[in-house]
Amino acid sequence: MSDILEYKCPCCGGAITFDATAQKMKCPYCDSEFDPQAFIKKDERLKDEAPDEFNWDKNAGQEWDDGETENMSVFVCKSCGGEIVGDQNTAATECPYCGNPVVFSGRLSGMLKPDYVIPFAHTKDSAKATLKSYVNSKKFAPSTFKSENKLEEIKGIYVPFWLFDSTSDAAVSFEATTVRTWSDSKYNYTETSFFDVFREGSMSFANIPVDGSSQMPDDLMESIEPFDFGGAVDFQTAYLAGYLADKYDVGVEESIERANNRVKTSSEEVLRGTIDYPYHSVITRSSSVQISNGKAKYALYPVWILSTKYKDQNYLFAMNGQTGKFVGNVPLDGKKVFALAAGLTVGLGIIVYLIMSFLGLL
Amino acid sequence: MKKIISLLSVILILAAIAVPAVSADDGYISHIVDEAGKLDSSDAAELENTYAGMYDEYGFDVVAMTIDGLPDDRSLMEYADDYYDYNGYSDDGCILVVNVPLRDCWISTKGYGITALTDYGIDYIGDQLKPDLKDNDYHAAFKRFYELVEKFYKEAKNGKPFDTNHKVTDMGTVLKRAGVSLAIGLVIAILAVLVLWRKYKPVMLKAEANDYLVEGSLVLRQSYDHFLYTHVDRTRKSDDDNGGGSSTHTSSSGSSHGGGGFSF
Repeated sequence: MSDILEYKCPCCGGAITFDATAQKMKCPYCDSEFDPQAFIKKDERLKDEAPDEFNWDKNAGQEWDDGETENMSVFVCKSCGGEIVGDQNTAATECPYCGNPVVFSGRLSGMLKPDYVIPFAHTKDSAKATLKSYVNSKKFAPSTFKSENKLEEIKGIYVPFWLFDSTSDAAVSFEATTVRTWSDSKYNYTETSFFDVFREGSMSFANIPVDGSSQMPDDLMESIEPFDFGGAVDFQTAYLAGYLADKYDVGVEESIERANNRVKTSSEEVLRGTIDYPYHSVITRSSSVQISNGKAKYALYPVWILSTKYKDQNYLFAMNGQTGKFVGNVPLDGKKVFALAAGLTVGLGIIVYLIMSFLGLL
Repeated sequence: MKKIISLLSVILILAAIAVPAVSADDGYISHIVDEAGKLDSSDAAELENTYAGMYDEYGFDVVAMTIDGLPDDRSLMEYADDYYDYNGYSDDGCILVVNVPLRDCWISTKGYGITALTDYGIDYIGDQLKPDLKDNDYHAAFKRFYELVEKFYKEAKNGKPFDTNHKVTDMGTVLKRAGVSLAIGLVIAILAVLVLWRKYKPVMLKAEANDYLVEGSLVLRQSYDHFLYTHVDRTRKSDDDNGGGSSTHTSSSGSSHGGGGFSF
């Protein structure tokens, strides 16, 4: 017994049949007609579509040379468990993540040597100035939050990142529409034309960073991106002088998924960007992304960080030490926000009322 | 002789149609005709005085009338049209006839009355009069009728009669508008607060890695756009909102009337 092939109408979902007279596929339910060639092609493509696949070469990091780690100490925060590395001249006293005291826990051990480092390009003074203007520009932040900010506590820290290189092979099919409207004396007409749009191609990504520290929030690190790998140099312990460093505690394996998701989204976006016809709408119908030649590197990236407590909640601010990009969540003052909302409601309400009265609506 | 007989019969019929609005002694045309006896004489006199003022000022007759049932098989509309046509009122005006036993009302309009009192206007006036009529307060109802007709007349003279596209602004409308306005204001305010929230909480994961795409690395291997099908939707045009206007009919005298009825 042979399988019966059933095609579904993309318009209404009903089963469509081949209309011999019209030499077209025809939907008996909504009367839409389709070119059979386009249909068969679409169907074949769906059969060929491979599931998403991600392959990475995960040999990142290297072994330390003898004596290289001798001058590096590890400090542990008893409160949040953060582990900070500092050279012998930079004794860490406070956890940069939560502001609690840290204690010396011993010499550096059990950590791979980074492949690369991007040195700090922005000084502490510039970080302080940026933070100050950033917080001051937030008019709806509580006044006490602004005044209580301890600018001096801002710390330069090298954050461990896994960098992933990859080539992505992606095939994405979209449904696109164009819309044309016209009218006669009685009716308005809207004609929607549907198109099967397909793009398949490959592209390369280089040095997608994934935060390797569990203490450092991933969203904060991704918010200060991008980092320009062009500014990276081979790692030397000398770069750590005067700064703190974080030990990675999220392995390369665990970090891959984060990079994969971003490569997948970007691949789809890039392919979508090649659609040059001015369609009215483009919807992704299906996509398949294979990632190969993945190569991971281990690098330290420079970040200025400040932890502030406000009403028992921790607020972390971060500045990209390479580009100077600054982010951080700022609390909102409930009273100020309420005043704004009430003012807008009444103010806009009056304007809308006047417009309605003028136009005689309702 | 025939002519005299026919003339006499017309006079008799007219006499039967209505209690004459023209009082025999001075030729004065009454605007308050209380056949059903719902007004006491001082109230009637006061209303008459007010109603007459409208004619004196604008040449526009406003008539209010109560009847104790219809005298023949004419409808209330026909009765109202005829009464207005055959009792010496001006070519511009309106009449409200209340058929007391059946609690039925009809407002008939003529000439400029048709312009000033649109179908919407007559419905509106009807709604406004119902409470007083229900309370059996004919004095208040007729007073209100006069006020409303004057208001509608003036609005029409200002260029735009009250109609479906230019409704009367009363307390209900004001409250409705205020409610809707505040709701719209609130929705926009909530959106503004959400935007503000987003600005104060900019820390979020990045969905894409576009910054790390190697420039020029894109190789497009397959690319096509196939037309699938076309779908046409048809919707009936909404009528242009020129307002409902007035619907008219022709009375037995051959003159054109607008009007509308309501019960209470």
